[in-house]
Amino acid sequence: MATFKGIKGFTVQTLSSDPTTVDSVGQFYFNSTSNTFKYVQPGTVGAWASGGALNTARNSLGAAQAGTQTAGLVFGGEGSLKNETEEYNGTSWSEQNNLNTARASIAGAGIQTAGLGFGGSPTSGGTTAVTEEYNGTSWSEQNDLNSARYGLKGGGIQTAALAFAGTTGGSNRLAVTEKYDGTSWTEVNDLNTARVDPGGLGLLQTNSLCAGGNTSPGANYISNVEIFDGTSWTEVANTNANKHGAGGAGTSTDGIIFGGNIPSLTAATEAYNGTSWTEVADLATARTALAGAGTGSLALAIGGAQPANSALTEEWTLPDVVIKTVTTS
Amino acid sequence: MANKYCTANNWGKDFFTHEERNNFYLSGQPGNVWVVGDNTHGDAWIAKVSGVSKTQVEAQAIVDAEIATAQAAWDAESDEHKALHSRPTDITLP
Repeated sequence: MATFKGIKGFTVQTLSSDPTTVDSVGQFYFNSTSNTFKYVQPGTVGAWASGGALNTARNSLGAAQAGTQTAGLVFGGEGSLKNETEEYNGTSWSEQNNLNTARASIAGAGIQTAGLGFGGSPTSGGTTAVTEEYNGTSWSEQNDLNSARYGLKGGGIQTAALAFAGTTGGSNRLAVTEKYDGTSWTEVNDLNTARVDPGGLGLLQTNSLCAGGNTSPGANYISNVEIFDGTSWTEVANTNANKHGAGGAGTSTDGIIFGGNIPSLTAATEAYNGTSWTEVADLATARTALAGAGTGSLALAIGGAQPANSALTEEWTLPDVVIKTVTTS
Repeated sequence: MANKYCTANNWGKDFFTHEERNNFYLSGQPGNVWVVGDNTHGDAWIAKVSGVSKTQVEAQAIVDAEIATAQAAWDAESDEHKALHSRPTDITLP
C-alpha cells in the first residue's frame, strides 16, 4: 500500500493538541491525543455559548463597551431601578460597589478597571445628565452631560468616550452627540437621524456605530446605520431588519448587533465588515434592551428583557480557525 | 426541521457551548423552555442539562402563560414606559 511518505517524501506531522492560530490554516496533521487525522480551516462561523448569569436580572443596563469576555462590567438598569454593578471574569459575575445614582437606560464606555456610565432615567420618565467614572473598585461623580437624556448609547474609553442618541421623554428623539475627554463633555456634530435605544458600539470614539432605534412612539423602528469618524456621522448600509433595543460590540469596521425588537423579540445577530451587514448565528435566547461589550469576534450579550428581566449572558466567538477531523467511509 | 421541547434551568457557563450551538438548533424561550433540534447532538444536550421533556403543546402553554404575565405587566405601565417599550408579543414555538 502506498504511504503518505512514499508519495510526498515526508511524514505527516504529529501534534498533541490542535493548533489555534491563523498561521496554521491549511495544515494537515495527526493528533496523537485523539488518535485522529485532522486539518485546519479558516474560522468563518461564529456562535453564541452560554456565560455566567448576572446576580441581578435586569434590562436597559449599561456596560463598559470596551470590556472583554474575561473582564466585563455592567451597571444600572431596570426591573425596578438598579444601581448594582457587576464584574465578569469569563466565568461568573460578582457584585461590586454600586453606582451613586440608580438609573435605567444608561449608557456606558471604557473597560472593567476604567469604566464610564452616563445619562439614563433615575425615575419613571425622568432624565439625568449624571456621569460617573469606575476605577475598578468604586464610582465617582464627574461633570454632567450637556444634554440630560435616557435611551442613549456610548462608545470609546474613559478618557475619550462618545454619547449619542436618546430621548428626554414623550415623542422627543435626540440626535445629540457629545465627546468626553476624561473631564468634561463637549457637544459635536449630531447624528443625521434622531433616535432612541439604537444598537450602539465602539471600542474607540472614532470607530463608533449607531444602528437602528426608534424614531417616534410605537413600533417605529428603523434599520438606518451611521458611523462616527471623530468629527461627524456618515450614513452607511442599513441592517437587514428594522430593530430597536439591540446590543452591540466591536467597531465600525468589524462589529456585531444582536437581539432587540423587530417588533417581536429577535435573537438575530448581524455582522458589519465596514461595507455591508450579514446575518450570522442567532443568540440562543431572543431578548431586547440588552447590553453588549467586546469585539466583533469576542463579545458578550448581557441581560435584557425576555420579556421578563433576564440574567442571561451569552458569549460570541468567531474563531480564527476551525479544526476538522478526517473520517473514512 | 423537527424539534424537541424541554424545560431546563440555565446554570450559566457551559450550559450550552459553541460546539453544541453548531451541532443542533437551540432556542431559549420564556419559562425556561428550550426548543432543541431533533438529532443525536440535541438528545445528548437534553440529557446533559437534565431537561424535562415536554410536548409542543405543553411547552407552548408555558410560554403563553409567561407572555400573558408580561403583557399584563406592560398594560399596567405608564405611558412613558409604553412609548419606549413594545407590548410583549405572542410567541409561537417552531
